[in-house]
Amino acid sequence: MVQAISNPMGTPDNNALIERLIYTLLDDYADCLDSDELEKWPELFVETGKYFIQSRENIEAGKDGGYWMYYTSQGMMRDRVTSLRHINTYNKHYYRHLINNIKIGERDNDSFHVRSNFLVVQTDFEGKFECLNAGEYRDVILIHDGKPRFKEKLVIADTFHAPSAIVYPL
Amino acid sequence: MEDYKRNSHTVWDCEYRHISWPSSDHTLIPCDVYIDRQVFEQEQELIFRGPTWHLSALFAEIANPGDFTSTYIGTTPVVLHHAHDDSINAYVNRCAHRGSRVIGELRGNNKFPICPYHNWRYDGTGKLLGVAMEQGMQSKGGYPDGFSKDCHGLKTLRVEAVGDVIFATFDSQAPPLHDYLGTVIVDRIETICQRPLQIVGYQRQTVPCNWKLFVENNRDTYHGPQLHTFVGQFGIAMPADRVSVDIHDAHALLSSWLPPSGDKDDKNAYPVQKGKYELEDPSIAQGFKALGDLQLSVISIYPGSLFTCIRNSWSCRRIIPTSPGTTDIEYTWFGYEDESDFERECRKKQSNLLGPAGYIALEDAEVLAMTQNAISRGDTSYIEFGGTGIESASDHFNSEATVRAFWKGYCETMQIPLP
Repeated sequence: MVQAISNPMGTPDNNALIERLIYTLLDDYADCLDSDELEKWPELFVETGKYFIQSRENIEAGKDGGYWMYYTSQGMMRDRVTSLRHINTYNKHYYRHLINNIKIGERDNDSFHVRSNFLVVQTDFEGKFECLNAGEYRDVILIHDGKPRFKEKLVIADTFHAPSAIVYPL
Repeated sequence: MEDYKRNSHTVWDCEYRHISWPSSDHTLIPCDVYIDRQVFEQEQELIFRGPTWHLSALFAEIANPGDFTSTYIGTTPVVLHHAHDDSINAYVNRCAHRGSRVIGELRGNNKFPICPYHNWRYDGTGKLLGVAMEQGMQSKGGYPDGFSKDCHGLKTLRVEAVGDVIFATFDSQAPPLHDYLGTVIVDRIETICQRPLQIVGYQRQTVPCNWKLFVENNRDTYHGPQLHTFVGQFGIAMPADRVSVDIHDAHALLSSWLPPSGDKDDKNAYPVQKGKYELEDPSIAQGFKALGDLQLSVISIYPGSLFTCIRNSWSCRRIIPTSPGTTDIEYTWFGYEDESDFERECRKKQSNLLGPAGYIALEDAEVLAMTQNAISRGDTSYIEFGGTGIESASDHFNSEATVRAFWKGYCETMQIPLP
């Protein structure tokens, strides 16, 4: 279960609720990408939400550039969806996310710093499988009116040598 | 075998008699060269370890004495090392003794090349400094009297630079770098390097295709508007005052200039194409002028180096063949050391166009994978868009001349007899 690094709400009931909301958001994130419901992906973010995919190589080298995706608003994420749906040429493929080791860390007012591990495997249009990426999510999750949304999601790609094109968000 | 003996003794005849070159004007390419293992091995020898120059690092990557960075030239692992005597060196990342890697990291500082296997130690120039148990133990064993460390250094490469861009070659007979690249490309690289460059970040990717398909793609001006419709469909295409294609030997430089300042808002002279879709957040199209009106500069250097400045998305790419059907791409993203936060932010947003997940580059990777996947022995590729010539153009992109130039250079380096 969750390792509570700090105890944000004090009472076990609220803690359990927060855990449940955060878990639900991570589940929804994986579900929309794995079930090809891309349109739901930007809606998991606040309007000014940020979505970054950065390689572990750049993090270790202290580089604030060379992002695979660098989206600084929900609008930019919706633009990605529009482009993938209507503009870009690519082969059909399927994702499957495995997310675990979820750690709820520091609380900052209504926001929670949450880290988790991910593995994304991809199956191509002919049914062949590859491990697309393994890495870590570093999320800042806002819980407002009982609804969790990402303020920021930093995807750190351990697999910093991409084995093929990255079409959907990781 | 009798047949074989009767033929002229070019490498191509001897080794690959099953592949015949169909045309002397490079409009037809035998697709076997994209899938054949023998051809692949011969390319390593004749092209990548032959008289060609390879973009190996930007100076900013190894700016300080002691800095090193690892890469490949073809399938050979190579280290670029800024030694403590301030020289820039390139050496093969392979111990002169039994061949283990002497540098096991992508990059770093103040680490000497040391072989973990038998503890042979080198300096940043590749010179052998010491070996384990040189005199043996208790006067037993060790190296014979005539053993000279000077004769057992790392294999070194020739290094030359244009601007802040460092190139290396295995061949001492290769022409000087400036002659190899030609004046127009040298001038362009120097223009881009007018202010000190800074590394913004790195990216790596495997593209499941032969390296030559990737090289053809990045200099192919025909496919852009057909395959990559992101910019047009979102209505963020920039007007071009003029374009040009410069071909020097097997290299190609593609350029595009914005209309001169003041004219660019003249909607009659430069009508802006309205897109079918509208960006919700147009900041991805926001940019700044770093090179005057020059908005696109793609330098495709034979055989496998790319130096591209597309709007504010600036990178060099090393194209590294790993097998007949796979190619690794190493990106180094750069900007200017003294640029503003706004300018750096523009670069980061525009980097969404290239890289493994880039709006444009992902399409290239997908199409090249599909191309590789469809090749069978005996297939031919047809390259006659814009005619059969290999000439530069000062006013259009409507030709595959740059691709034919690649194949002309390829046939020369591979010593392929033309019909």
